[in-house]
Amino acid sequence: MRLGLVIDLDVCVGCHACAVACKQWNTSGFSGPLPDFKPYARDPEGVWFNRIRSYEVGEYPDSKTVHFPMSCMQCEDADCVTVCPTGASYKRASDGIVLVDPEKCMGCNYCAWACPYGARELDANAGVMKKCTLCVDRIYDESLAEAERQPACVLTCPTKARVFGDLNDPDSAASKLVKQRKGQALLPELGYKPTNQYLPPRPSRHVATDVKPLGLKQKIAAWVSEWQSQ
Amino acid sequence: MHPALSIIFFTVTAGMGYGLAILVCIHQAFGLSESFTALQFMLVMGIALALATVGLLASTLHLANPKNAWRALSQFKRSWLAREAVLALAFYPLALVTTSMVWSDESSLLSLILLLATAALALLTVYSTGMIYACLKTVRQWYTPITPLGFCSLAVLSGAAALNMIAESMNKTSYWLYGVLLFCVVAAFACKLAIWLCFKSTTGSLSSATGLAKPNIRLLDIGHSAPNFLTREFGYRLSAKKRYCLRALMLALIIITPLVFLYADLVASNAAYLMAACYLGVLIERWLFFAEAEHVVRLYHGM
Repeated sequence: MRLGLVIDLDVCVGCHACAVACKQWNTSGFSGPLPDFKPYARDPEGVWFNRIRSYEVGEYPDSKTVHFPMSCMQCEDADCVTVCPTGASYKRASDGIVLVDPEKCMGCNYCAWACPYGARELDANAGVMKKCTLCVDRIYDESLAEAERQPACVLTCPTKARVFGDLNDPDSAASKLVKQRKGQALLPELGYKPTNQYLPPRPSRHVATDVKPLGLKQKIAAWVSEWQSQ
Repeated sequence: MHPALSIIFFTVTAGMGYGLAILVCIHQAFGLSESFTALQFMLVMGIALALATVGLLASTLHLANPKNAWRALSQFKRSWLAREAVLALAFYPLALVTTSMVWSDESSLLSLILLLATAALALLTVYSTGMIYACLKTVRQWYTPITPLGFCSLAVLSGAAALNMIAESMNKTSYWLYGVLLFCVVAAFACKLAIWLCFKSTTGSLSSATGLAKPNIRLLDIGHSAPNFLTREFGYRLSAKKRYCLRALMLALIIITPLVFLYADLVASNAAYLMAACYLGVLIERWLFFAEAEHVVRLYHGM
């Protein structure tokens, strides 16, 4: 099994609900808490497993806003695990989820340096590195209804821009979407074989902006037709 | 990358200690120039070990959870950081055995082998420090075999300046160290120049990093309103003025100063100044090593 996320950049509206749901679930979960530092100050910050950046792609009038959620890509060849000197970072053989054992982590930041996606953040309170667990404490919980055994971010997404599944199984919904929409991994050239895939935005329609202003004759004709219709 | 003072101080100070150990062991093994007496050798090894220890202790300041530092010895097979930790610790018993052998019997074959092994282990420790950075594909300026070569040449350079000063204070002029100084200056300069010229910036762009394959992509919103772990750790920006001033100062201290001292025959008479220039120069070099390194995650932040 190779569990991961498929993220549809065409429908993500950048509402940050996934990041908030993630924080809510995980702060009392396997890698919790996710502390906030100076939450009521001018410059609040905290540990997040998922961050959303927004980009403008293309030139006006054919530009498009693309919202870009990024969390751990659960890389097949995860360098963050290779470089970890204490063995705190590990990749589960059964489902490919990359986790950090807080009992072993010494907080050296080396794994965060090795991650090209900015997926690892230090919990300065505990002195331990933290990262997306793919809601490992949810997806196998048999006390939940089967439909709810999915990561919190996926369940909460209002536009269904996130799909969770086994990327090794060609018949899973996630794999089918990747095939159908030509999903791609980020920074494949680094060779870490990220599991998460991104579905590119569909081409946008051209919006005409080069319409000439109406002449005097056309303005009068428009005014007359409007007056007649009243 | 954020230039963390604890790591900079650690790599420079421990590097000088290992460089000193490498050179004093080779000096003693081959009886180059005037050999040190057993007591003098013990003193130099003591200074080398003290420098390495101070450096290693400083490195733990960088850890957010130092009580787990002992676990860093466990992943020797895969992590260069673990290898560095194991080699640095293995250096202590070997250095003690070697020093006691030199103390008891200076000329035996066993002490020759031990001296060379100690020098090799010290060099390997510095090499693995360099490999910690050189194995990271995420930082273009580091991901090259030149990185550990630079670390080794600077460690030996500062070690040579230190041994020269110690030898002078014992009234022993070691001319072979002049050759070492010259070699290390040239090697260090070549390493710096190669990295500056070949890896000016991060390869890739926001377009390739996001896979959107459009040439014109701009960051609209970073998603957070205040600096955080990611921006502090990876977002360090070095102004062009500061960069070139520090590069010039560094070259003046670790390249020009040793060359002028060698040319004007000041190495023996001004040994302390040479040592101070080398140590300070390597400190600046290491600060720049971090400050100039651009992590690939910066692309997503439009940097």
